[in-house]
Amino acid sequence: MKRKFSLALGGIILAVIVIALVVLTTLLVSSSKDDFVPDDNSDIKLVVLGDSIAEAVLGPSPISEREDYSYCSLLGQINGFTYHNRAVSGYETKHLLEYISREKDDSAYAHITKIKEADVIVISILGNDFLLNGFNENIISAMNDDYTRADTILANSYVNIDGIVKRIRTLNPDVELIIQTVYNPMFPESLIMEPWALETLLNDYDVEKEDLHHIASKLINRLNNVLFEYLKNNPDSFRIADVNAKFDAIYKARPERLDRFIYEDYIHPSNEGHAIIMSTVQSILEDLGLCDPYNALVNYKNVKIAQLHRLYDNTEVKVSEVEDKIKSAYTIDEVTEAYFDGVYGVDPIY
Amino acid sequence: MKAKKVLISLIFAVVILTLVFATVACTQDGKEEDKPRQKVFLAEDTYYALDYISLAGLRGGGGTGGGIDLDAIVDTDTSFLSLTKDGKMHLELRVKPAIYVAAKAALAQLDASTIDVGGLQCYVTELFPGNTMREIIDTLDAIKRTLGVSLGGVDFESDNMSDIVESLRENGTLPKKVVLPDEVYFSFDYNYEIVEIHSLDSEEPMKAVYVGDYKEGSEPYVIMTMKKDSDGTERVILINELLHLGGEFYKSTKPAVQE
Repeated sequence: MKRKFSLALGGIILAVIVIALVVLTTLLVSSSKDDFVPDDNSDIKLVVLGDSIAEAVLGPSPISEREDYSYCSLLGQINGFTYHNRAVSGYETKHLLEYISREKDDSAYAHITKIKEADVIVISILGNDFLLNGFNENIISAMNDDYTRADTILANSYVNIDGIVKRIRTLNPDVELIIQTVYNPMFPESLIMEPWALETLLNDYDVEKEDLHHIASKLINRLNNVLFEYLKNNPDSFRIADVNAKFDAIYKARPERLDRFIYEDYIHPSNEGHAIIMSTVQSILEDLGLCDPYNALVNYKNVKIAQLHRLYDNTEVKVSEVEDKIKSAYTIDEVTEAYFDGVYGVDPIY
Repeated sequence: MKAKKVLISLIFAVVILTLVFATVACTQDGKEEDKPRQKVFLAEDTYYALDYISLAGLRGGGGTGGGIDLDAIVDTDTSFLSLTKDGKMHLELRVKPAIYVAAKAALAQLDASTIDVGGLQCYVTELFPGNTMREIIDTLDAIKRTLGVSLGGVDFESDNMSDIVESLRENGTLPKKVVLPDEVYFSFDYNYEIVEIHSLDSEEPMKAVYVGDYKEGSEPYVIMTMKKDSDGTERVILINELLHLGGEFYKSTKPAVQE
């Protein structure tokens, strides 16, 4: 009897699960702009600070699509937030610290007010601390396991990160602060290194181009350790959006996708790279309960489908096939993969 | 050598400025906004003369400061900003005649084929996919069509410009001898709106000129500040942190020559 009851209960639970899955699948597949009314989260204010990765002037392609490719804008759009991008290309940690340390708003950008009123601040920084301060020399030194120069730079970065975190907490004690790790942009054909440095690696150290990603990761991991170390010493001071880990996981699963993540200048994230950064931050926003994952997914699908038609109707892209794949995706990353696999190698019409 | 440096600085400044202003048009392109907004414009067509413009301490892109003094290059007598009562903004930047003549003369003496224009290709490829430096007319068309940035005073049918176009197409470089037209200027045309910005630092809201369209819940890339100086003259202030770009325009009457 007991067993019979258990079986019946199990059957009911199973049926409920199946029905729930069917309903969910139907909703996801049939979702379209016409039948979805997004939540109004405009009272949640998102501010993005930092460098060119966040600023997204170089990255989105074509530039006229910046609003639908940059991760700041995507996070704002799919969650219905009010959002402000105050990132500045070329910023190192010291520049960001100076920018947010200004006493008051000095223009209609009102960046101090935006920081004070933000619910979430997302920061992309650190990359230029390395890139603009002897990146090539540091790579060569890493081959000899000599990190003296790099560690000197990173010691300053750590101090600046401390200043940035403390200044933001002074301006806005309760804000949810998220800092991104820096991704490893090196892939076999990358020209991010200057020719002399690349020649030195290939000739003097017998490095194969396929090893460049691994070599660069030694430095990138050291760079990102500034954040992990800071968090270890100052628990709960911010959350880390581990963009580097996400890029790396995808690189291991599909190595050919890595160069698709990087812009033609070998540094900045491409359209697809921005989408990956967006989903990395989005998962934290969802953990924080600041947004509705289902709504965000549906909104993201709508953004990509509209963009697909706007840019790729009347091209060789099989638009209806790609649209079907986007509609049937269960996660933001699946939407991203369906869209960018579908349009890869085809110039948009804009 | 010095002439070449000035010339390259001039080209670089123009390219960067174009990029900055071009970015404001990122949601133009005929896209519909999610919700129509009630936009506020100036009550009457208003002309603002250029007071100064500076581009200093450039960071990023490997730059390490030094900067470019745009004030010495851009002609404050003829460059201007206009905001119309129907929400149209027009910005026109012209090079100082003396500088332009000097640059033109310097260029005439240089082997222009040694100027590296190929380095711009990766940005053309990404910013305007499907276009190349080799097909410069198509690329300029794409920039004008999608971003509202245009080059005035250039006749691509003329012999001198045809030489440039052909050389870029065939060799990917400028020809050895480049003769510029008598005048070149840059026009930037966008929509604008006046928005009151709340600041915790002042009781009165700040007045902003939002340049270009933008998504609901956000704002455009270029936001100019509008305020009155101690004389009561209305000023429009342009700041771009990326370039350390600062510029000010003051309300004025349109010169008769530009009527």
